[in-house]
Amino acid sequence: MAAEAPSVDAYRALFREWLAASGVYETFAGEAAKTDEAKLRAWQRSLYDGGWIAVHWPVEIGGRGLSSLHQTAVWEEIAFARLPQPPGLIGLEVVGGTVARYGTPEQRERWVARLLAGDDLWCQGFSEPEAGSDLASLRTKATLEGDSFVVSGQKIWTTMGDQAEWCAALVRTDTPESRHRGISYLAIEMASPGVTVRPTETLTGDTEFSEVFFDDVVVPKDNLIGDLNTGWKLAMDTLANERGGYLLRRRAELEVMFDDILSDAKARIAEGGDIDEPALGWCRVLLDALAGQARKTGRRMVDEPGVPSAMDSADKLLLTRAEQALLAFAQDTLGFGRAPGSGGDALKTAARWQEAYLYSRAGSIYSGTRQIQRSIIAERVLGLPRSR
Amino acid sequence: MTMQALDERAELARAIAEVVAAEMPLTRLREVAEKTSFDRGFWDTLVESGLLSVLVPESLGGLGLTIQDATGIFYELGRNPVPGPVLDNAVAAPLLRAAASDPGLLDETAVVAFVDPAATTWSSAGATSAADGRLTGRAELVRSPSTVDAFLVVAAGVGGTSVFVVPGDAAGVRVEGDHPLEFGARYGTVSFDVAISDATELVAGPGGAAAVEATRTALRLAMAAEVAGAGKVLLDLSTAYALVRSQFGQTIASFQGLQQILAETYEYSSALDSLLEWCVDELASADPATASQIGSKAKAGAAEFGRLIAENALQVHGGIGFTAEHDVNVFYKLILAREAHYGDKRSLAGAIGRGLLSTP
Repeated sequence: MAAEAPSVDAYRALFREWLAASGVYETFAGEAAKTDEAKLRAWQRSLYDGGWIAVHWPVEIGGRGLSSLHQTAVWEEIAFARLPQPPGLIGLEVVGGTVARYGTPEQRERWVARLLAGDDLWCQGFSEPEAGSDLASLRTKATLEGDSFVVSGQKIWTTMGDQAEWCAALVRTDTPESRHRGISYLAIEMASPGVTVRPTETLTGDTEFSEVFFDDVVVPKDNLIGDLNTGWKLAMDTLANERGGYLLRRRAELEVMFDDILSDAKARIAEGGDIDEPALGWCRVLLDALAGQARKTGRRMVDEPGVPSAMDSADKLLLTRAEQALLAFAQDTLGFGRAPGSGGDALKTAARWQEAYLYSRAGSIYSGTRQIQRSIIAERVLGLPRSR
Repeated sequence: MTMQALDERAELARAIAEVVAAEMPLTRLREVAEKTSFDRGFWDTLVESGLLSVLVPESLGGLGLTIQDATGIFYELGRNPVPGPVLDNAVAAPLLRAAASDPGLLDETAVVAFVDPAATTWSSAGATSAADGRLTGRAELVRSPSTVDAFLVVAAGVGGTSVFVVPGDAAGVRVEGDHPLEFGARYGTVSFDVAISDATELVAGPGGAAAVEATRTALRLAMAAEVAGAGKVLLDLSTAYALVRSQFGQTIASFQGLQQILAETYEYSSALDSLLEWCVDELASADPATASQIGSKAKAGAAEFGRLIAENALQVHGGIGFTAEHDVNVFYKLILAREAHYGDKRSLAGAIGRGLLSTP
């Protein structure tokens, strides 16, 4: 980090000032605007032009050489301000760092600036129907034919799959038995012939995820990132970068939700309803525990950037515990038949919290189930043998 | 706080932990617990270790630390429990003496028990008041009531909340029960119908309520730290046991069902550590009302996570953990003794919830 790097607090204050002057509050004043793709892409462009994107990457690969806590402060402030996150977050926080670090100078030149500016949105093609928590059993096959790979297979739970221009895909480039030793990391253009995207409507009613099908998709050899059959290493790099930042950003979102839930709970009391006060208080205790945990994670992100840690699993477990407790409280207090307000207002409030509640239930499934996270802790933190 | 100050706190906690480990191993603790749960010789060792003067202001000859500086010490006492009314003398007495207009009114060598009707979860379980020249009422969960030199009694009076020093042998003091709720501490109910002239008013006036509330907050944090320490020992004991206990030709640590329980226990233990660290940091800049909420949060977390850790530890140990001689007992009972003392999860979380709902 440069000697004159601002403190995270000072940086946060600078970003707040910039936000206030940016006009973004007006842009996103209505709820509809928050899902308007053109407005969202323009929002990422203005963050990029303002210098608030990839600030934690080294200068050599297009960043500003600050810490990941500086970048996280930006995402937190966006959450606290109730503004939408930029649409290219998967690129920025998950795959982009890996592309920039492991890509050749030519690849960086070709992809990175567009990824950061939101000109190209990236999705992450990791999970498959038969390779969820057991990622190393993935089957999407890429066969080298001349100067191109020919890719066939299926990805699932691909966030932003229906909007992305590029997919960072893990593909099998060796025998199925090769497990993690026979996987490569390939950038696939989503507009290529043979790519079919089918959005998945989820339990919450939205289409955040898609299924992505590859039928003999021709991918230039130049799109291989890293060496052939070294994709597992890159995948671990991606996952390590995903988790710490996600905890901090999601915590900020939960704090915002907590404020909203509290305010709706007061409205319920004002209408003569009662509140399970201990349940509410316990949510606050869990959020404070999470705040303490997030601070430790922040220290780890600065002290050991990009190093995968079993502590990520402990973070994920506590995050999920707090999130599920908070949204269960919301559902119990503000769900259908329980929300304050009359007619349409009550229904709107109830629908919001039911959707958030349902989404919280996915927390113990995505990015490694609760049981997988506990197995990681058992083996890597507690030193227990591989389970049987 | 500077890094140097942090190091000094950690060094102090380590030094006290060493004394305790050398002088009060669990075998010795069990012997003391069998008798009166108080060991005068060991108490003198604790005094010499500086434990009882950690929170005493420097102007009164103490180390002048705040409770947030001292949680590391109480964490160690959770890892290695000691007999006697430690929290009463290391936390309550120093803070109340510091709040007194004349600290000399409380003999610093006296072993005291803090008598506070708010110590129980259900506040109507006791009440004490001072009026018409008499101190009357009763309070539960008084530690070491049969062995202390004096009681520090919180009482509602006409001028607000006061704290009286009542000699253990004063006429009109009645102790009921002397229950070994945990290894090394006995608890009883104490009733008072004592002439005020036989007692000394240590803390009084408009500041009395604030001083007592600050003492309760400090006690809650110290207890939460003890529970976090005890919980860590239970996690370590359980992990170690799973790695050596064999069934069906393998260690039970290789069974997925057991691994999930142990990892869950780790989750609780690290969540409690994180909560405690957060509360300690927040306390430094908190106003009195916020400080009180912070103490409640730490203690509510300790009540819930501590109990879950203890129950899991017993499950991992199986039958052997259910036997009286197993060390799981010591830590389990410490955690249970702290669970409802100064509020359990439900009562404290309820207070936190009400506080949140009452903000404009």
